[in-house]
Amino acid sequence: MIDKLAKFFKPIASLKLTIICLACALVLITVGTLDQVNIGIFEAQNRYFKSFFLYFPLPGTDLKIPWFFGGYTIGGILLINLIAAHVARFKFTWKKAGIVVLHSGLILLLIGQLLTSLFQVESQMRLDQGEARNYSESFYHDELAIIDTSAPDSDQVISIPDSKLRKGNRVNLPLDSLEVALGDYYPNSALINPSQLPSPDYPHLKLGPMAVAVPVAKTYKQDERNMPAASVSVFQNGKSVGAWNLAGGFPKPITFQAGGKSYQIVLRPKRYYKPFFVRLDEFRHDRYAGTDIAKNFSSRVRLIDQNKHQDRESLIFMNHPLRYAGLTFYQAGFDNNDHTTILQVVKNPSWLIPYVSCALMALGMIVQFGMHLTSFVRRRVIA
Amino acid sequence: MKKYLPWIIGLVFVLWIAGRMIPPRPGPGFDFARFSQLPVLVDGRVMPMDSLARVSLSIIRGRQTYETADGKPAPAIRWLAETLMVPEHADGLRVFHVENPEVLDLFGWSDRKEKDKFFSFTELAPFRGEIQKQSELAEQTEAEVRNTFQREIIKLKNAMLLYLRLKNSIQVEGSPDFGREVEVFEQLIQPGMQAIQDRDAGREFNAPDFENLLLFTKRYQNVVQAKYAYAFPNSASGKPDEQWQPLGEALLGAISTGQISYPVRAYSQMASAYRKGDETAFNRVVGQYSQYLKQTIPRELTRPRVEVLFNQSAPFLQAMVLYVLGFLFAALSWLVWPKTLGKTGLILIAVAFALHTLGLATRMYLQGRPPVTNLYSSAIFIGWAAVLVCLVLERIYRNGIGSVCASTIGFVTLLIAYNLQLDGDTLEMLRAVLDTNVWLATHVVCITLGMSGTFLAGLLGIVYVLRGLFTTAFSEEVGKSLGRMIYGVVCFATLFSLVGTILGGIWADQSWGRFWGWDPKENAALGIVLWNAIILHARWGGYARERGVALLAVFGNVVASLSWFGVNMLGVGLHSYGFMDQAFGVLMGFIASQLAIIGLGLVPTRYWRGIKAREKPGAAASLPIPPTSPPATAVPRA
Amino acid sequence: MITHFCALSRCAAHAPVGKSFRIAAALACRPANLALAVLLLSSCDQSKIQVYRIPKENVQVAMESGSSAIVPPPPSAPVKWTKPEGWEEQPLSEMRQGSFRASGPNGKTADISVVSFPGDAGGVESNVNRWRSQVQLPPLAGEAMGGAVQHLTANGKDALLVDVQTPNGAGKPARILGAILQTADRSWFVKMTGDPDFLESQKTRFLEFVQSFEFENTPPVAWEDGAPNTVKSTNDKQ
Repeated sequence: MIDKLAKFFKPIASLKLTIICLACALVLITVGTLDQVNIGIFEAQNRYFKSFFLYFPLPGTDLKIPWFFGGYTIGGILLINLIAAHVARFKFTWKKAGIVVLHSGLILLLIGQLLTSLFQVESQMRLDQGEARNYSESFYHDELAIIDTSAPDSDQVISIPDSKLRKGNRVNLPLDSLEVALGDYYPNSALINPSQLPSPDYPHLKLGPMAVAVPVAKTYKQDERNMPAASVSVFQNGKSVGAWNLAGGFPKPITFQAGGKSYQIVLRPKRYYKPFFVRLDEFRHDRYAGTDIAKNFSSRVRLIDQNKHQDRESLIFMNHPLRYAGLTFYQAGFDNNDHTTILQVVKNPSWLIPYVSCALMALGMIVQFGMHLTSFVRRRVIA
Repeated sequence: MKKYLPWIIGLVFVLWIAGRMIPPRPGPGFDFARFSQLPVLVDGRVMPMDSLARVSLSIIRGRQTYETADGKPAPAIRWLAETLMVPEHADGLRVFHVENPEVLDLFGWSDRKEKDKFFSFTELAPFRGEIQKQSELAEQTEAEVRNTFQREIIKLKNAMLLYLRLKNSIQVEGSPDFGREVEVFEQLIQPGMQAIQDRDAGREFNAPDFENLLLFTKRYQNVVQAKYAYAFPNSASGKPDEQWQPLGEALLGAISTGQISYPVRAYSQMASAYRKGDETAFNRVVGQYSQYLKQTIPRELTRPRVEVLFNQSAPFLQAMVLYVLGFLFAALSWLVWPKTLGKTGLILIAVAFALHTLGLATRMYLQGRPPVTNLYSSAIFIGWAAVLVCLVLERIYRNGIGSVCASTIGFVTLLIAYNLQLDGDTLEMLRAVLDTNVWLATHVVCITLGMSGTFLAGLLGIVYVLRGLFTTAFSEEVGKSLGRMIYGVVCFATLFSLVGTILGGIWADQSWGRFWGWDPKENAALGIVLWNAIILHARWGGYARERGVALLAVFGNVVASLSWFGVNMLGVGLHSYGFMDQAFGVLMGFIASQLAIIGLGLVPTRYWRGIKAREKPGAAASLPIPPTSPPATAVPRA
Repeated sequence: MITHFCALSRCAAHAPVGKSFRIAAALACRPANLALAVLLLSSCDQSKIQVYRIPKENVQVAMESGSSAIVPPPPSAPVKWTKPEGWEEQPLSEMRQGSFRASGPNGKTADISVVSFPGDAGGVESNVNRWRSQVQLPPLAGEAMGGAVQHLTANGKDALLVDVQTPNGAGKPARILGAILQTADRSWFVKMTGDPDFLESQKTRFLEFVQSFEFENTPPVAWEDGAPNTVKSTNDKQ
């Protein structure tokens, strides 16, 4: 039995597999990078690197045919191959010490990257000068939020992720027997004046006397955000409570009453609330004299955490983020003629792993190549 | 005697090169030497007039020299002087480079059989509106997806815009005697201000005084929009951002102070003198102004002076010449007189390397930064590191291979750099995210070294294939030593590219919150690491031996060139710092050539001339090759 | 050096089924399970409904009908102008950045407002038609629109001028003199309304007022690069 396993196991640990995986990785990276020009980095990441296979849609049908391996597959096989190779072949002698350490660092890095791709959450915090916020917003995901505002000192937010927002969907909410039904849903929309509609029956959602939302193609550009629009009806115990047209570009919520409670409903970028506030005191955009070339960007912010009794100032600038409560705040952008700062907020519990693995790899390389070099020099001296 | 021959030949060439590097003695006429050194603030950095001239002419004409009205070649500083001070002459000079047929179609010039596609501003002026309109249209398309016409028309518009700005940098364009005009203006200020105050207070005011000042103010306000070169030091201001002023602001600033600042006056007098052809007056004012600068801003003068010297001596160009000479000697040494010619070649290459180093060090001094800050400097550094490694290899193996590779890579990278120079100022200021010397010195240098190694390994692979296939100078030792060189260089490349990529990830984590984002440039670096790792693993697994490793190394050239230039052509992501255009064709040609060489290398070895020569009885290779590697020692098995 | 790795490759060819392998076989199951579990757990919170509590937020709410107009945030680019003689400043409202009144003989008054919106606020055509509808005039489109607007320059900036009046017989005569200016990220609307004859006497002042508009960071009007997207990344090649 063990012998049969061994036969099966040998190819998994083989060097040939390593080389094949590395070559496949190279092909994957090339194809993925080329496609980024068309679909943007976020989409390319999802399709090429955070997937098991690469698909190619069969024209005329809904079928997707896998034609190559995706990042998870190649990375996974490489990881297994690396671990297997060590277990099966390497004897832990001093001579191999460098390579063992190097490969362990690599194994740790691959695992760390897997954890990151599964658990990392990136969002943005836009702050006008003087504004304080306790939430950050996703650049790619939206939510339909229903907020119970009856309580005097707190609000209860029910957040429906955009993956559930599809035309015709009905979503049961876990509270108050509420149910939400989706009518039309446009993943990306544009707001225009009703007089600008190409024809009266062109698909659109009326948002007000001066504005309608029309569906537009999803954008993949790096600095453009998709603005969804939806027609939403809310029911309680089967009875209709209200129906509205909502659009991501109208961040003001609409109020309604149901079952004696007051609620708000709004379609907006997905929010990640935090137990503390960040206030922008000053944003600086230093330029080189006589030019518009940026020399430095910095945001002086105040961190206000009542639970932990923190109320302190911090300066966030290029290559110098703020780390607090497992989150990291980076200076990412600005707007409104330097009056608004945009901070990138990253939650990544496994952020330390790459540092550890890099240290291991560096150590392994120095040891291994150092040994090569000394033996090479020694041989020449003998010669 | 024979022992000294290489040194003597070397000395002759070195002296010749040194002669080319010494700046010409200032002759009679306008003191361009001093004028070149005058400092101006452009794009955030203080540069000498000479650099402003070269950079501007590169952008407009694609060269650092131009042809005067009588067809004689002249240096950029002369063109700048004409543009700054006698713009109506400069308008007639054929300096605008337009070659794209669709752009020429716009003007109806496509059937002009001009050999040089250079046009003057006067010829282009009637089409200004059309050029503006077309480039506005073109700019609405995203930079990455523009076609050639769109890119060329935008380039032309920018060139014309730059030219217009230059014309209004030290005088108002069209002023027949700006020196006089500035004096008149100064005299008008006080009475004009009085008239304004009177009018505001509702009193009787002197209408002509009021009108005159208004006229001048409007005139100078128009110039404000043309600001580009800030020529006027403003030591009166305490703010660090306002140490230099452009023309419009300097003139309007005089209204509040009541008098014209000395720099404005000096430049206006220079302009008037130059227009009149009065060399004595011009030189005198330039001299006085230089004195003024020495007294007021002495610290801003050293770097421009060094930079002018650097520009004129052109160490990289001289190094290119010496690399070519070194290559000839070293390659010749494979045929005849190996020791003498080989040593001469090595000496020449070493001197070229010294110049290469000097140029690199001067750039670091002028910029105050680690060696690699943009695409241009990466080309210089890749060449420098590769040449250094080759010199070491030559010292170890002493078979001319190191010299040939050193000179080839040195020449090619400097040639690439020369072409990259035409986009603009290569000593440009770094934008905010790059403003960190630590990461520039570590991550960027390591990645560049990794690339350098990959290219060098590829070149060695090419030498392996060409020598083996086409020459008889391919004994077993040569093959083995080449094999070892390639392996050693690949190890070097793997080490540095892996370390560089890791450092890049850490920098990205500090800067943007994620260690790895699958950004095109990150992917490109990873590609180099992966390919080098494949070579090493293939060798260790016995899947590739001497020839296989050489061929894999040649493919490394493809991977590295795509990584270095290809990503810049994509323009997407956080790393888009440079943009190539015609280089695309060159890149594709290069890749095709490498694939062709790999194809050649796959020919079975029994057909290789060099291999066949080995089998001949008594086969010493017919080309004298000194013993190279140490005798293989038996290493005890693990 | 080379022989080490030859040894390695030989090992790869004949891996002895030794102790290390048995341990590996035993361990193999566990990492796989762990990996699977991790993958399943991370069925991203992207696809689940979440419920949570937050401290009370003071959010301005819209009417139930959902007809909330977009309230413009305070203007980003400070703008300077010269108030003409004879115009009285009026208190500003939520929408107006500038408000004046001109008074003339017989109690005639004209109301002047300065308003700005982000972007192009619907475009020239829709805003001109809006003014037209306010004086009971039918809307124009396309080429006809071109004839109804004039161009003037204000401090090097291009401005559009509109002059419309109620047609005869359409009730109380009213006239609107309007100007539209654009900066990189906002549109500015200057509007004077009032009695047609009185407006005629104020027309020069209105033009002077519009021409005195000065914006910070005015880009040169000719030879300019296209209007940029206002949101900038710190990594932009600026």
